[in-house]
Amino acid sequence: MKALYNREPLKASHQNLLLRLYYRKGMMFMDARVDRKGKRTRWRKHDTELTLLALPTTIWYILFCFLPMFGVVIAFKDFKIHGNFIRNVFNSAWVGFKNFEFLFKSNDAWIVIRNTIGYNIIFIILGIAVPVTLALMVGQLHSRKAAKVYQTMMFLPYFLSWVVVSAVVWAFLSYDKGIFNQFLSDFNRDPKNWYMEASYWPYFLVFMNMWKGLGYGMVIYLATITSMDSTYYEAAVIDGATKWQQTRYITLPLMKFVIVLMFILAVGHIFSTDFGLFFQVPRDSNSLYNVTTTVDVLVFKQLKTATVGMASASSFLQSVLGCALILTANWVVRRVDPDSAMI
Amino acid sequence: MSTQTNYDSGLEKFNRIGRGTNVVFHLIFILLALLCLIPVVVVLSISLSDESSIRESGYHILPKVLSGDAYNYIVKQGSMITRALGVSVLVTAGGHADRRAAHHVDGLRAVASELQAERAAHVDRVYPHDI
Repeated sequence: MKALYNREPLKASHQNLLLRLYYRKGMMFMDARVDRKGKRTRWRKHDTELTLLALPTTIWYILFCFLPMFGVVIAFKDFKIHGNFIRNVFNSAWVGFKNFEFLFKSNDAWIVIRNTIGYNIIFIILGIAVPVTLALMVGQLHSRKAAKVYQTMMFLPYFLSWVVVSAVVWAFLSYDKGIFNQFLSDFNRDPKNWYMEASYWPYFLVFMNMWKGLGYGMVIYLATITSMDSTYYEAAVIDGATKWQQTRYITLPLMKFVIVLMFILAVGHIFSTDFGLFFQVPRDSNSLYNVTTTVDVLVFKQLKTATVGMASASSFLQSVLGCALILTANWVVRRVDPDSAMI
Repeated sequence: MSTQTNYDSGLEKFNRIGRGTNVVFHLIFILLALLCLIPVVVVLSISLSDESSIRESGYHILPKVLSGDAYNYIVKQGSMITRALGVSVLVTAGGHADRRAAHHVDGLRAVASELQAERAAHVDRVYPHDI
């Protein structure tokens, strides 16, 4: 048993796989003519094929990822719309970091930043812990058929858009027509004006977010679990490992890579929130301002009075901070466990 | 919930969670599945209920007065709905990468340009000869 516990799973086989790939690659390119420095001198048929294969993606990236990056300059300009977009970008005056000021100058900067980061930290923790736990549980059910039924049902909310979800929430929480208040009045309790009670909304929002993303998260983790080599478990059973020990020492270590990957990706979004969740679902209720306003909601609201430059500035800041956080998270992970790091 | 699955080996049957745990897990998942299913059912029932009955007696999990008006409306919209669906399919098939962020940015941009256009129109109205 001990040997199994201390083993670093998959690492050896990964290396094997890589070696095999290198070997095959070597065979593939063996016929290529090389000069003294080892560079290939002749353009061969498979070079054309590979280039053609990469071409659509390359064009796509240039068109939709690299060219639009040029728009970043709008964040540093006093952008005005008079006609041609490109000409406007060149003609508007440089204003330095003035567009960024509104994000920090407003009185609610603290509330907004607290909400954005606070909710996201909760979402990241629960968004990993709950789907992983449920994926582990659903894999243990005796009946495979029932497991599939549960999974399908839990996937349903993922397909609803936030606007529809907002309507559903309204059907439940509306003051005079809502299902919740009908329940309350059935039990002779006073109906509550849910859209005015700020204290409930952090729970509502966390619940809604979990509810919508649960099925999706479970599928990702369950795919990892089902792709695991069953011989690990057979060996563990023969050695007398309990279910809990199998989970703790086989399943979770094998899932570690995916969990860390999802974590790093989620950390990159820590300064952006789902606009639908924080704007559509609370129906822009003013009483809920303190608990539902995040950076994206603030930007949207400010847009009524602010400029395109400010919107670009906030998006730019979110992206830069997100990128920095991804790199930091990855650096920390690499320090702790080099195998799980992304870059 | 049937447990009459065929197992590949006796080992898998031996390496199962206990009967009690299985029941508890099933209960948890039934609860979660209902939690996810009920709002979807509510969507369906609202779409099928009569508008005036909602106004009178509020929302219900099952509709009080059935009506197909909402669907009639969709069918009447016809070409626009099919076009919207076509665009959705194209977007999904074309590039799913970070759809959320893309939608989000698109939304903000659309709102921004709309507001700007509105403002420009306003300026035009106030100072018709200036710009």
